[in-house]
Amino acid sequence: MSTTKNVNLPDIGDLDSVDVIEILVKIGDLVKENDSIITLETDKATMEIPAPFSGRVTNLAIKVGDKVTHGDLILTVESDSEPAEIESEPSVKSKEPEVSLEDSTPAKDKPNKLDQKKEEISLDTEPDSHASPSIRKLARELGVSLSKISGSGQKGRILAEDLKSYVKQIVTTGNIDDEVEIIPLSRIKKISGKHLTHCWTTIPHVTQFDEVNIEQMEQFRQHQKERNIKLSPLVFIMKAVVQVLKNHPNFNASLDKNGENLVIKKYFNLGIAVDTPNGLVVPVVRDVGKKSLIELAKELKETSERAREGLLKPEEMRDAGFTISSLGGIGGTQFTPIINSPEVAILGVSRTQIKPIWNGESFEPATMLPLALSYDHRVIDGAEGARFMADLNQVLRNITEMLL
Amino acid sequence: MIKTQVLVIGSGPGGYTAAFRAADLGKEVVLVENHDNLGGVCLNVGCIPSKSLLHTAQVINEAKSANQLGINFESPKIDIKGVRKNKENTVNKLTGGIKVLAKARKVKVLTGYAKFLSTNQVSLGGTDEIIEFEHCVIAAGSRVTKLPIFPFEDERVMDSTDALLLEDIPKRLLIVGGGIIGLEMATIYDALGSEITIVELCEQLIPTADKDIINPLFKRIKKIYSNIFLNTKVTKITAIKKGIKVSFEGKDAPETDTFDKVLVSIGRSPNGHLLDAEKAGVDIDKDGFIVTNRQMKTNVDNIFAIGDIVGQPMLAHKATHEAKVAAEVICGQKSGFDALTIPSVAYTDPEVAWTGKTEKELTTEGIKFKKGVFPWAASGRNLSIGRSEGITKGLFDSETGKILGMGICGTNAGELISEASLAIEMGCDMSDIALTVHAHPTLSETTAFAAEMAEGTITDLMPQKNKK
Repeated sequence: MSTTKNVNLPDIGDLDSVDVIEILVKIGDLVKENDSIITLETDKATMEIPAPFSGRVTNLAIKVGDKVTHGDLILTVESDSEPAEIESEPSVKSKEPEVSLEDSTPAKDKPNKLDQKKEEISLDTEPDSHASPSIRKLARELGVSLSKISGSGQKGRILAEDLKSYVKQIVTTGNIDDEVEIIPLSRIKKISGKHLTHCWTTIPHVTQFDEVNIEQMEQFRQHQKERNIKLSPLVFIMKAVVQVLKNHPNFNASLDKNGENLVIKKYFNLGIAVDTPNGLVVPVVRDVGKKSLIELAKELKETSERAREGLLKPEEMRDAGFTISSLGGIGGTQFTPIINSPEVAILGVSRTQIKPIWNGESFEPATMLPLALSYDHRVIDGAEGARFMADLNQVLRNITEMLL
Repeated sequence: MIKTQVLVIGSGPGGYTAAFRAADLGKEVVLVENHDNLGGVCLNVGCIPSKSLLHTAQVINEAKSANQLGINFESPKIDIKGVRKNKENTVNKLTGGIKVLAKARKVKVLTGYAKFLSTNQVSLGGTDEIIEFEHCVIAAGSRVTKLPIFPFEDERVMDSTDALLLEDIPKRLLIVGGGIIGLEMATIYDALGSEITIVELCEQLIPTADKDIINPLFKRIKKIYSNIFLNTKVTKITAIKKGIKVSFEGKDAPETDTFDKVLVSIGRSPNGHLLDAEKAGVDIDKDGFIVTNRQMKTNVDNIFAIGDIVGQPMLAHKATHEAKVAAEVICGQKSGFDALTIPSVAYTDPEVAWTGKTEKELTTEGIKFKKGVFPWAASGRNLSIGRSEGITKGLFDSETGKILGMGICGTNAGELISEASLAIEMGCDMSDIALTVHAHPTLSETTAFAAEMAEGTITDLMPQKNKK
């Protein structure tokens, strides 16, 4: 026996009417518990909503473009261990005794055949393709199947420019042969791409480099490791940054929209850039100053994991005062990080190296940590930037200063 | 032997459109027509003469009802020759126009009955001419369906073509078949003075349309006509001296009755089997329709077919659009017939028109819909033209609000339905229609009001209950 259960939108934080940008299941699909069923997008983040239990999807209550709120019905699932025969699908197909027209071979699948058979056209008028007769005509002429295009017009209407840019993309990337593949950017990349372009083009960046001798920190970490407490350099850097920010409040700030006022933050929240399979996200660790190294390590681990799984809530990515981007685990000697507007500075961390350091008498090996501080030159001038870096160097080199 | 790039068989709206379009795209075209006049059924014995006579009927009816307006006309004296003449003038103007257009495009017009010899040759009946073509468009249309039980050899038993000749005005006229053609002929003959009886096999007139949009028409003509027998079958028709004796089988109908004339309008049949198209290897289904794809191409690569001969609905405006597709595909363009809707119109009084899905279809297909009905009794424009009946009904997707169909009954419904057809093609939602400013007072306003009824934003009436 099967039972029908409704899947409603779970609590996704304090958000009303969030856009549905993707529906990952269709009627008749079998979903397992925790399989993603839909993707939601806010201006800050995208999140996938998992199925709360397994079963077969019998009804979809929403569609792409809808806005949903906590408690809204998403879909109905028939819980049944026996996968029931889907009867509707074949009958729907047989209902259309379409003369086997060429539309079953849309041009995109076999683009090189276009010239050979002129009448191979796309007659794609599925009800979901929201396009006017003239656009349908244009699509036929261009040999484009409308179901492959997402419309940019109102309510997803496919416009002439959508068609043209779709074709242009194929032409410019030379997708006409099989040697390249077109992969659309992930949602996160599309969103962060716009933001990064804005940051890069509107903020006059200066990047200040430095190297810190972290021998003392390494010894301390080694010691803790022996006690089974694992602390990454990043948590020390976070602590040190907060300490330095307290003395350099201009770095824990944002520039207002018209660029006339600096908004100094009295709280010390740090954005930590996290690499995920879908792209870069920046979760925020709150009140770093009030948390112990162990607490920070734990929170960082947990947050990064959830970021990689795409489970971050939009409010977890808000209200940072300063951002750290660490590529130390991967490699590289230095890089120039892009400031995460409206913040005014960002610290980039590269991989530590053991280098010979002159102690006044001889060279001795020391673990050196490369740091890069990008700052908004409208807010921070060079001397201030250098002083910030010098102070940070001081604290990190001599971690006992963190106690101050 | 005549050689041509494109041969079009049949010069109805589909045929001449295909011929002209192909010629405009640079092809050498031969157009073959069996009859002396170009224009096919539509222009000669269909749409156009019937509309001319329907206009005559409208003038008579309006003069008759003018007393409501405080104007009294004498009973009209009908000069049937004059009525015929006017109709013929209209037809001749249009068919003559086609001839001129054909000439201007250098389309060669030949008279005769074309029959296929092979995939690239036809013979021209009545001549020993053979025409060889690269591409052919079959636009040979349909004919009146004639059942053997009806004695058509007696001239008092008419089909629609006979009825349009207007030989006389019978005192008692029976119309067998309450579809669009039967009802339009009823409108004409009623105005000219005949007593009309209609007999229809189904439970409603124009069975394909929704009952509620037929209702205003039904209510009106029920009062005017002698009888409308629904759910009734004609079992026998015999020509006797004093008239045509007809036997009925139905609850309300008498067993037999005798009429001065009988018009049989029970439908039309495609001419698929009448062209020897089998000799070209063209697939024809059991009903006589030629099978095509959506580029109007038959199973034979160089032979296309359009119009009544390829399927329902048998309407000129479907044929003309298919014709352009066929001609364009022949000329190498990537055209296809992908219209979302083909509107239907009955030019009765009041007119009935519908487009998109009917309520019946939506119910059968299990599509959930929201309905907005605006009765014309609340339309200022309708009342001021002296009418009270009429409705506009909009059908919208219950989830998205997208327009699925519309039905209108009332004066000028046929003119009003195009807005809904455009809305369907453009994928409008009911709010799009409701929020579009319609001029006041107009009949077209009722389209917006129907959408407002469904939206629940109507103020000219009380909104339907289930609305926001």
